Amino acid sequence: MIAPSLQKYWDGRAAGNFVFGGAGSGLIISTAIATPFNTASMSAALLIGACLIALGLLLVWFEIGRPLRFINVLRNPYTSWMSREAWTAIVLLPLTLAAFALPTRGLVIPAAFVALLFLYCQARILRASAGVPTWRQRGTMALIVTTGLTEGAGLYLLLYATGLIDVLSLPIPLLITAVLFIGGRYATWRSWLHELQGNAPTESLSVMRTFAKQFIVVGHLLPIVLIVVAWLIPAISDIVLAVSGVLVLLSGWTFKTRLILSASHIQGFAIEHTPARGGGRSGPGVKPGWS
Amino acid sequence: MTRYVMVADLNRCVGCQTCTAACKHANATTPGVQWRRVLDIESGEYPDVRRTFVPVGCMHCSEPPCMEVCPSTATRQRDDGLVTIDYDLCIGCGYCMVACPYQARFKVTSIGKAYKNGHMSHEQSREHRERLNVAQKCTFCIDRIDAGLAAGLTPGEDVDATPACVNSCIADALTFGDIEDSDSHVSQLLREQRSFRMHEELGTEPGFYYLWEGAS
Amino acid sequence: MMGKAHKMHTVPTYCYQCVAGPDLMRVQVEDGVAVGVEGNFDAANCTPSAGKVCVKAFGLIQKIYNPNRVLTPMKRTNPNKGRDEDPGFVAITWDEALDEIASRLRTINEAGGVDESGYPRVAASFGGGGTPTYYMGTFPAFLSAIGPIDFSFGSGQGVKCYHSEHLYGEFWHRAFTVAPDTPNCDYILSFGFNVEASGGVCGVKRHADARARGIKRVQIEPHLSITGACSAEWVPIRPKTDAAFLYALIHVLLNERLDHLDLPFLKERTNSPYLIAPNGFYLRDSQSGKPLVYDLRSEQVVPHDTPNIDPALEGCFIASGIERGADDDHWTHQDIETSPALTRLIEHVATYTPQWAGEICDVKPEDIRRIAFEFLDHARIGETIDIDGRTMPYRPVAVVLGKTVNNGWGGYDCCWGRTLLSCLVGALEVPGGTLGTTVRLNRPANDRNLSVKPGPDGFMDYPMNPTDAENWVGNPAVRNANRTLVPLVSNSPWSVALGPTHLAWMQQHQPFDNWPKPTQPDLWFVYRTNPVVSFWDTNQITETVSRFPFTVCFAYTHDETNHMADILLPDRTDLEGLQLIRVGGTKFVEQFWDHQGFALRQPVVEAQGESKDMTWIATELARRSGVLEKYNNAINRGAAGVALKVNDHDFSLDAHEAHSVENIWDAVCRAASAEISDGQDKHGLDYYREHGYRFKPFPRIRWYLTAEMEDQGLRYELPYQERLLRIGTELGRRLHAQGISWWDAQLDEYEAFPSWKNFPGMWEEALAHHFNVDINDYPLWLVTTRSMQYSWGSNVAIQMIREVASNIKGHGGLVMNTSRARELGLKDGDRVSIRSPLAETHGLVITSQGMRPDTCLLVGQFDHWATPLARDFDMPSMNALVPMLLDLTDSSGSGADLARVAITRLENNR
Repeated sequence: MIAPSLQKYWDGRAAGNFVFGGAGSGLIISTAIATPFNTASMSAALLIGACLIALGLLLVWFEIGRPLRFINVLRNPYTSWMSREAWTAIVLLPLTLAAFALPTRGLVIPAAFVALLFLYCQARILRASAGVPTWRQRGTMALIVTTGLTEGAGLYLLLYATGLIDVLSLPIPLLITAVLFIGGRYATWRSWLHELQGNAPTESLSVMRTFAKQFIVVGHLLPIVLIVVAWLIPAISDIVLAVSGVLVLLSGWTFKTRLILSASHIQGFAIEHTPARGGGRSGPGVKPGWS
Repeated sequence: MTRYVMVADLNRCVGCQTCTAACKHANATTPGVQWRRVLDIESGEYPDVRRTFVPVGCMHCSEPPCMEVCPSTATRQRDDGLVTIDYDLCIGCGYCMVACPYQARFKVTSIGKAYKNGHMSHEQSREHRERLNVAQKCTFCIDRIDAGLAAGLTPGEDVDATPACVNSCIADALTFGDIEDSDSHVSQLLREQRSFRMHEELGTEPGFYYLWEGAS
Repeated sequence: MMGKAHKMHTVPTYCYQCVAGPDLMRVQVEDGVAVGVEGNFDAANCTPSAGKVCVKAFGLIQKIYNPNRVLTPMKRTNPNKGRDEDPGFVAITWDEALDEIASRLRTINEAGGVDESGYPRVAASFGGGGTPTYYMGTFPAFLSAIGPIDFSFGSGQGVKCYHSEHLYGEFWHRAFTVAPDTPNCDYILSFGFNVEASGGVCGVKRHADARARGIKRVQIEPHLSITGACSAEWVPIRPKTDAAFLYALIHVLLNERLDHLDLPFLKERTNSPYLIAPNGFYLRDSQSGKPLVYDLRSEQVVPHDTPNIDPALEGCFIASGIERGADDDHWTHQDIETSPALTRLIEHVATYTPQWAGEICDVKPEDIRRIAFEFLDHARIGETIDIDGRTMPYRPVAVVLGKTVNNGWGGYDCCWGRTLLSCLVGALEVPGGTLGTTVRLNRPANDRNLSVKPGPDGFMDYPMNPTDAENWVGNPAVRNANRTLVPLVSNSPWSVALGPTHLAWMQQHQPFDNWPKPTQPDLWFVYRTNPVVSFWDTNQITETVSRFPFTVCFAYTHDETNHMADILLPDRTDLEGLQLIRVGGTKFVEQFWDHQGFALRQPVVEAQGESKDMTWIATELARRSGVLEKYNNAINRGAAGVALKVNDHDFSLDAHEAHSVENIWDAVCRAASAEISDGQDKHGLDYYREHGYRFKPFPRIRWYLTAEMEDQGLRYELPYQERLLRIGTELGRRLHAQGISWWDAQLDEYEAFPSWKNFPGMWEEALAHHFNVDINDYPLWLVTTRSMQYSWGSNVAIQMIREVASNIKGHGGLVMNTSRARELGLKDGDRVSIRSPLAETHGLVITSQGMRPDTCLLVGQFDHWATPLARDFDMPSMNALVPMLLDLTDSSGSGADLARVAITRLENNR
């Protein structure tokens, strides 16, 4: 009760918004990056990205206590990143659908920028959650953004490898982008984890430390190796890239689910000093669950 | 300007939970919901051990993270520092709850009953359906303050204008008042004794002070 | 906020759920429904609680509307009784219930009221601390009307109370309960006295105020209790070794600081200068029989009350005189060596060094020495203070004792040590010092100063039960034999309940030699108590109660004791009944007030169901049992708290009529008004309904008994216990003449100076011996502590109390030292078996640094299996684990809440 306990306010539905919203917006961005290499007019990836974002928002709608009043979510764009996320989604979803549907490439790039903004809003939502130390770190912003971008790239690789989107040839620049995103996620992860030291409850740290090894190996090292393999051995590139994409995507989703549901110990309570009782002496403070 | 704050004297508090109970009566909160409560915190190692009783609840921060994140503007701040929730605007997203570093906010999804086998008269007569599925928290007994002010009373000085927890405190550990008024009891206590605020490093500027040592 | 207009008003009443009450309050009523409790701030300036009530009072709203209440009279249909038997209660009418009881009472009356053993055929048990009295209306008048009642079957009295303090406290300084003069005190040594949990609003507030001005309180206790938490220092002492600590403090003061002590107080107000003759009794003047002292001025031996003398405290003197022992023993002495009691005391405590005590108590000797010096330094010997225009000594140091320290073996020693420490620095019954706050064995009960009457040898008189051959009560009149075995328990209305109550229970299981047959009462009334949960060896109590032939329980909900009842009577709860009580003056714990007067408890809303006011029930029972006249006359004499004939006013009830509840209390209110106004006013019930109370000032000088002692030229009977030595010897002779040797160990406690016995060892030996176990298999001491939220409140069935109490550590299971738990492979939340040589219970581990490694703790009294809500708590209690043993019964007839246990993890954590 006094030591930080896991937050119970947001459950898997809220986690779903970060999972699907991040991957969806990331996918739109990857699609935009891949645009010059596309043969067909527009990619199904845009539709998938929009659907993922919508799914995430739908889950949130299921989570809120008063769903019929959902429109009130738009009332505070001045300070609330949740309002801003909602407003961004209002712009992003039609724009992405338009980019998908209209025979022009001109809308993909703006859609990608709005998707990036949406991803940023999600990152800021966590960053503003002052009650959850692992979320409120400065590094959370970059980490959530890179995670979304990486998931998008992974999903794009998966869609490419499974032929769900129509790409002329293996876009090497996109592979490089994917590798860069994975590297970026690794860097922001390391930096975030470092930032957590002393700034988060020990239980949260322990959850993330336990997770770190598999996250790095499965979510970063292995996918990069697979991408290199795909580049070197084109014959098996499809299957290898598909696996790489899945690993990148699922590792990101696992991380975010852990972050929202398992490493989300709340602040807990602390006192700076224990009081002097009557004629006794005061004593040092205490911050249960933090050391 | 007026800025209402709460002062808890940790030397006085005995953790009896009378304030917790008084709050539950005054605000008819559902079983399990405690807008005001007192923590029992142990520190040190045997035999050099301490137990400190720490009243907590909404800190009515000057920079309330709950208000900043609230997407519906249900959470607002009055000029006198009180952080309020408009139950009719709140969508129950829970964002304020993860934003509050003081575990001050609650959300319940059903009308609670103290006993499974009966809905007691006083529970029925004081049901707060407007609080269902939205955020709720300590109001500093805003209704008492406003009614008291309207009657020309001074919050923190007059019982009828003072939060129920303060009125009830049998150790006189809780004091309420206007920190901007240098003559108020809270100002006097904060002048004469050393105090801290919880999680001050988070920049929330809480309106809840803890006295921990006599002389400044 | 509520959206519609509500009709709200508040009703004044009182809360007396704990012994540290009463507290005045107001109940908020909205549209005829009680919705909230608040203090009665009108009385803020004339009550020590500043008009406030504690958390327990807030549970009273749920108490009214609890859906688990018994709301109609009920009758048992299953003749078999026992924990596993379904009582088969069925609803009956009040007429049926009352007629059934009345018919049995008539039969009992016709049989003479007592049985073949000489014991009352009717028994009654009430809950702790006498608080039920403040809820039972005129029921005491009914009990007094129906003839002899046996109050022997305690619900915790003797084993759960401050028993030694009650008896020795009243004996030495009219102190049924003892408290520091907290408003004036600067330094308190508290041996397990848990005032923040058991001192009520007044205690909590006064100590908080004292802390705010810098009082230093040292809490000496095996675990870090709430009070330890609020103290300047915690000294974790080994259980039951407090007497050694106290002896060492006395040793340090006498051996190292004798000249700094309050010598005038010792000379004038104590028996320190009395010369002790060779057989241990006072050396007396052969003519007057008065104890002798050595006068340093005239350099001769003179009677203690000779004017203008300077009696010697130290030395050895040649003197002549007589010595009177037990019964007719007497000796004449000529030119013998004799020394004052204080000199004897110095010799007595010579070996009780801090080093010695340190090993016993597991406390650093230097800490004991430091604390002795701090105590002395804070005593301000020589300083005075003005109280109500009278100059009094100002000695702001106090010593207080808690439960378990204060009862069972070692209780006498601790009480003696505590009172003596105060005497050494002149801090007994003076401003700032250690005070008594009420009397229950002496009379009158409403002002302990009035009970001070000159007795033998310059001391106060004390209504000791006789031990001389002619007057000793050899045939016990009640089953716990209080007057027979315990001279100190006196013979007031409270004396039976303060007798060795577990003896009554024990005998039901195992009769004593050469003693009347332990019969069962034909009819047993149970009101606001649950001995099946609250006494010891609860399995045995359950079995005993199930054998009682006819039990009538006033029932709030179904519970463990009324599970064995034949009739359940639903009385009204705290906020539904009507009663006027006396408040203020000096009462239990720290309730010494600057006012005194009366307060009303009144129905704040319509009573629920068919519940009835206790006064109505009492009147109806009296009428149907044929004792209406006696009942009314008892009320007229004052059984409802005030004699109805006051000064020139007579509000007496017509003795032949059955009066309504309102009429009875209206008469009581009028008499109370006349009493408090010296006949000026005759305000009746309406006045009290509106205002709730009426007070007049109570002079603060009456807090301090020493003023009265000075006025009457009396001494406190300390340090030397000549009288106890004499009565103990006499009692032994009486018992032995009757062939009774099972009380011999208790007789050994009648010493002139108590000497250290291995108290923890007594428990170890007794348990090992009785249960034939190796005590090392039970390595941990088990102690208990009061829960502020539950204590005395009869409120385990109240959800809100459960909810808020859970915020305080210890309410969920067995508290163990963190390191010790780790050694045993245990962690927080592990489910464990808690096994004593007697029985076993289960609970969850709560680790704490604030606990001695050799001790563990269970809060309060739980282990309910029938009470709704509470039966789902899964909270263990020590009560099932503690045996009732004669070996662990002291001479006052009390035992201590102490057990040895083994803790093992339950494999499946279930």
